[in-house]
Amino acid sequence: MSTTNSARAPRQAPRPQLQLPRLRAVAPIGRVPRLPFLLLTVAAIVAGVFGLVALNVSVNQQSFRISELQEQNRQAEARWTALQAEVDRLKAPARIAKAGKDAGLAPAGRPRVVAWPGSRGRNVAPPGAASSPAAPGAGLSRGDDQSGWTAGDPFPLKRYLAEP
Amino acid sequence: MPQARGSGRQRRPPPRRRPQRRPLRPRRRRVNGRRRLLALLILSVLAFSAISGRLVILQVFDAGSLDQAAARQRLIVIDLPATRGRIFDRNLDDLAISIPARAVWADPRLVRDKRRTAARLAKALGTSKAAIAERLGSRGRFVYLARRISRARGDRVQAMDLPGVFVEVDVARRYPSGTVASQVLGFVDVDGHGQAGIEQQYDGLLRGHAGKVQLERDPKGRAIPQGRRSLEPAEPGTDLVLTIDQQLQYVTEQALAKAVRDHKARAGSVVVMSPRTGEILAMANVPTFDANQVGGSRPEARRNRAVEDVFEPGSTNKTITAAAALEHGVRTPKTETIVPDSLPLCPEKTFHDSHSHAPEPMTFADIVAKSSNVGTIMTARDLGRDRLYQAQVDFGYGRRSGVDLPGESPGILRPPQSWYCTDLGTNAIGQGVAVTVLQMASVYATVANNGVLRPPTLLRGMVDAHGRVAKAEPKPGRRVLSARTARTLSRILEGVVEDGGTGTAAALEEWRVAGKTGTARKPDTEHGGYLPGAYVGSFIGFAPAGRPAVVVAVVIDQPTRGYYGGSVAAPVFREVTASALRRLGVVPTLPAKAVR
Repeated sequence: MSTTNSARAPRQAPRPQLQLPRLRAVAPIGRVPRLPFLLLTVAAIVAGVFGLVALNVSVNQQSFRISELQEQNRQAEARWTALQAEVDRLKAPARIAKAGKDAGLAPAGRPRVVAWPGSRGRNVAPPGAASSPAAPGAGLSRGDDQSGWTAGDPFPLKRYLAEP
Repeated sequence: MPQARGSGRQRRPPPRRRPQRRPLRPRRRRVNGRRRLLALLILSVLAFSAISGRLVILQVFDAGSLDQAAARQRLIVIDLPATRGRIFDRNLDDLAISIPARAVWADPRLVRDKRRTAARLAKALGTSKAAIAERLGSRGRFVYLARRISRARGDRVQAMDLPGVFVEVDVARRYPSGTVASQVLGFVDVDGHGQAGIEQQYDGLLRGHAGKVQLERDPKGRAIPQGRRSLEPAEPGTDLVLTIDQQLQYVTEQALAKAVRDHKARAGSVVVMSPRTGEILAMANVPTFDANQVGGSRPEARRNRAVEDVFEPGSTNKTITAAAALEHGVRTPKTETIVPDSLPLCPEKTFHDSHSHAPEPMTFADIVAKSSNVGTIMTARDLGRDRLYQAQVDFGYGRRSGVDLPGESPGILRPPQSWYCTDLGTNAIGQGVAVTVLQMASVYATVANNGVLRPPTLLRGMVDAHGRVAKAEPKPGRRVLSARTARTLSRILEGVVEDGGTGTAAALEEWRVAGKTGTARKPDTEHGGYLPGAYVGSFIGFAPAGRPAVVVAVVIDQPTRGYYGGSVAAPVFREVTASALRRLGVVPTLPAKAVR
């Protein structure tokens, strides 16, 4: 049948010869070990995940810490306010008056103001009217004239307001 | 077949049959397939169109509302109430302070067993079970069960973990000194808004601005640490420093309360102020109330009578008549006049002195010291109604003083065009004209301040949220009298408290005092005329007379045990003035008794 076929087949034109490189034997390529690659990859993934988790935990810890501190701050502030209110209550004039009365105290009477000869103060009782030693400055009428307060101004507000 | 060919035998080809025509595939079947494909395509297109349309609706049209709905599910907004500013007295002692508190509210729909819940809450909150049950029975989804309760009590309610009952942060206003200066300070409502006094006047400053924090929460309501979070901090209110001295205020209130009690009076008011600055050091009223328990107080006790109520000043008004007469040269202190005990000013009206006496020569200083009605009206007649009226206007009658308090009354001063024949006489002796206690204190403060009127003020400074202090701007003064007239008048007023004067009970051992008594009949506001047997006793003055540090105005309303200002009000003046001068450290101006 092949003969028949070849006989019937029309003659084909010779093909041009290709200059193929000469074949030669080469060294077999060694197989790349996969285990280190896998281990490295797994290690990288584990480390990454662990790092992310650790970072997340750290952030959360800080957040909780901040919340705790804020709560402590609030409690301290509330405690300060409560103590301040208690101080104010204890400083109330009515309470002090009652405590003084219970302790047998009485309101102070007329203050004794004394002066010595040569004191410079105005509005001072005449030296002859007093017989007890004078307290330094007791007879002076200094102080700022604008406010009307005199020596021994009991109001600290002036200093307070003077502060920047 | 290959085997046959391989065998080499010639086989006769089979007879060529007419190719049998393959039956055509039914045309109908091919059409069905195309239709199916078409239907599938249409269905797919419709499905994708529906999905796309829905996506457009969700992502474009409803995106905003859905986003908000999602945000509502996971975001919670917590209001941060601003701390209301504190109110200090001039020594920086607290007069009003805000403390943390708790509020309990409920969503009645979430409350399971309302009776049991009401019983447990009533026990914890110290209120009635019925009241709580009634609130839990409401249809709304939010109802307050208690407000401004202590933190400890709120924590106890929180610990009960009752379904539908919640505890939130609240702020309570406290006035540590209770009744002290309560009408000056005022009070706040349950929402912390000022309703009276300084609390109302400076509500905008004291209130501050509320803040809020927005948190992302998990299904259990816990805040997600890394979730969305925004904070708008609350801005606390401004702290105010008043001119009030708490200790002096207390002493003043005690002295006034005792006088009202001793004389069985209806009410009383005292104003203590510095004439040089216009600062009010104390302002007391009886009856009074505890600002911590506003709900249980009477409305008349909450009223600041010293600025809201008016009274006819009576003889204390003679100071204005005298000031005008001196200022215009109508009188000098030594001008002598024959003064009878009655004076028919108009056909239908004859004025009388309080005590009958024969016509006697009196100096102008004596007329003031002895508070002669007739002598004063004679002076006013020489002065003329226009100058008398103008003097009253100059001293601030008929208009508000501008003090930092709400509800101040301007008083009543009719213009001279509408005066009747008798009005010259009545105005001269302080009847037919109505003023506040504060206005009268300002009149005497003007005399004490060498003729310059300093508008009264209660605000000394402000402390903002950063601790910075700003002094209040001093209000400009206005000259009403010449300094010479003021000094002369001051010397005349000293005679009132000396022997022979009407106000000897106001005299102090340590300091010279100048002042004036007043005893005025009370007008009958319903029927006209005056109430029989009803008087207002007053004493207004200043000390030390030569260098005044304080002005004190005392008014006792309708005393029934004695009614003369010299007997019911002057003792209060003496006690309050002495306390004020000692408190201020003013050196005595009168010789002290020898100390043994």
